[in-house]
Amino acid sequence: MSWSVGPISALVTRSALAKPATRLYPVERRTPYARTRGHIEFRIDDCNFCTICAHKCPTLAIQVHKQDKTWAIDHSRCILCGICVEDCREGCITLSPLPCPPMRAKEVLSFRQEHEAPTVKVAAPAIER
Amino acid sequence: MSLGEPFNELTPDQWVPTAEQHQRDGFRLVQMTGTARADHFEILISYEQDYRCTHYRVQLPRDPLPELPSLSAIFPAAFTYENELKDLFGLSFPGLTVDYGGNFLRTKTKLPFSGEVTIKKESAKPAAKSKSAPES
Amino acid sequence: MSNTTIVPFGPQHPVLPEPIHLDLELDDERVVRALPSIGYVHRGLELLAERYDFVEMANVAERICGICSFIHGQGYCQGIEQLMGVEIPPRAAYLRTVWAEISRIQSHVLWLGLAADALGYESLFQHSWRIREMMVDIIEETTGGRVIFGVCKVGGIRKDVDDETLRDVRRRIGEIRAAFDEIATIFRDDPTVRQRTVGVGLLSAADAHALGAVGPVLRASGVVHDTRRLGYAAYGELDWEPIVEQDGDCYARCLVRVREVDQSFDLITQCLDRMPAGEVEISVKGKRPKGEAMFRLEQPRGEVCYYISADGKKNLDRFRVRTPTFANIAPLIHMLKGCELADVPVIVLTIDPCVSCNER
Repeated sequence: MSWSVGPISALVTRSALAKPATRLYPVERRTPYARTRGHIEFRIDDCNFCTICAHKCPTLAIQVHKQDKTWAIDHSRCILCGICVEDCREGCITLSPLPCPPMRAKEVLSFRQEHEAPTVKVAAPAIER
Repeated sequence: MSLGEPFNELTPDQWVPTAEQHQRDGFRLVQMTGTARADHFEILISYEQDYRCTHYRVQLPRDPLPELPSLSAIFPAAFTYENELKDLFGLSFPGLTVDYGGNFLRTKTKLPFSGEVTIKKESAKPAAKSKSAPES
Repeated sequence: MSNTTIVPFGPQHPVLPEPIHLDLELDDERVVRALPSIGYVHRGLELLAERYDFVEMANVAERICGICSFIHGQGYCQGIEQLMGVEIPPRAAYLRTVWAEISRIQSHVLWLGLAADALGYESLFQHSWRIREMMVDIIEETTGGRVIFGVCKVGGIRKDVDDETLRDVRRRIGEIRAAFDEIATIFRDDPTVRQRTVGVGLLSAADAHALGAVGPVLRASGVVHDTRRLGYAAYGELDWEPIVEQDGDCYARCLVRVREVDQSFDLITQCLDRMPAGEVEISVKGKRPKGEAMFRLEQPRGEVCYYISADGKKNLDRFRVRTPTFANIAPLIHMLKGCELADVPVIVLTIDPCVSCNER
């Protein structure tokens, strides 16, 4: 029976001399992999408001209004399954590898065809249920 | 593979003899689970030996309080499953070796699965209707 | 007259990462009896199967657990495929095997870290998680998620991985293996680990069999049983033997996991070498599952059973998961009897409790 403290001493000494395995996060960021599911991106220009994405979304994160020509996504609800990306016939929904920035409040990102810039709506806290 | 392992129907009085038989043959208790149906409870049990499973199903009427003799004296492994069934469905197991008296599974409502069973309808997304829409 | 004290242990406890509650009846420092209670994190995922479309349910099945996520998704999809009589393409089966083994390594290394932490071996804990991080990077590169793989679907795999990435994975697996070998020696030989684990929490082979233990707990007691032997996915075509240890103590359970990580590296390499070319999914449009069956798979924690009953409708009739942790509660209660209070966290950890799986 070998009782040895050799291996851990070697490991500890080596990691004391080497540079850290961790990153100084906000300053230093890893480039995301091409396949990383970061967040859903949407371009309003090509959208024809067919509502397929809203129907297929398993968590109902996407809401589309045909008449008003609006498209909205609730990032806090999205589970990044990628079903909307696969099913979008116009190719206007894409998956970005960059993670979604942290949210300060529950917000729904909505798009309107007339206006180019996305309008951010901060939802009232009592909206759930 | 796992298909082709049929579910054999048992009557409640064959419950213990079947277990004894499997115990003698060196089987292992794999699982025991319950389902609440509209007019009865269904208890499924599986034994396994050499990677082959045999499953049995017993149906218990709801009306007189459902009761099933305990297998925990034959298979010690049965006690957790029986305590679970007891806490969820309100079944009683006479002869249970380790009885936690309804304190094994902490639930907000007592016997959560013993109530009425609503038969589901095939609609697109019933879960969807109860949820609030993201934009309202 | 016995003078016993009752000490509540969990659901929130510094050494216990999981919300399981134990009432420990103590005579001095010795445990006389342990009363478990569970049910703190129940989410009702089984009921969702009766509400969701069976294809969408694959997403929910994967979220049963955050550590064995892929294997839950795989088990669910495999069950539905068998009920529909669909055979997935060989490349999909091999890729599923690779991911299942990656997830096993990730889970075991995470456990080894937690075990080291429970022993009070902080530096070993950090090193284990450093190695786990390399594994998680591979997961992220091949699937896109770090925890939820999201690649399994009914009928195969969502997105193929190109051969170049697979070659790169094979090279990196070699590097991770070398890094893991270093900490594996520590788990095998270090006096700190051995003094806390050798002879603690004994479970004999007969007891393990009778109490229905599964997975590493069962194999550490000298019983040869590994559900992967059923030959699902690609396991039937690979060369491997279940890992068995004879002693049945905490040290043996630790060793089984260390050796299983090694075996998983080997299985991944075998899979990548034999990776067949071709399609990765088969269309299941218009098909509905019908019938009922019990499906079994080997998770990192042991055998998991899925009972799926379907009546040819869009949603399932009944979906039930019996998780390995639930099966391991009975052996745990047996092992705790007569142990020292200080050993309780170590013994509880060696069954690798995963309560989020357990309560679904």
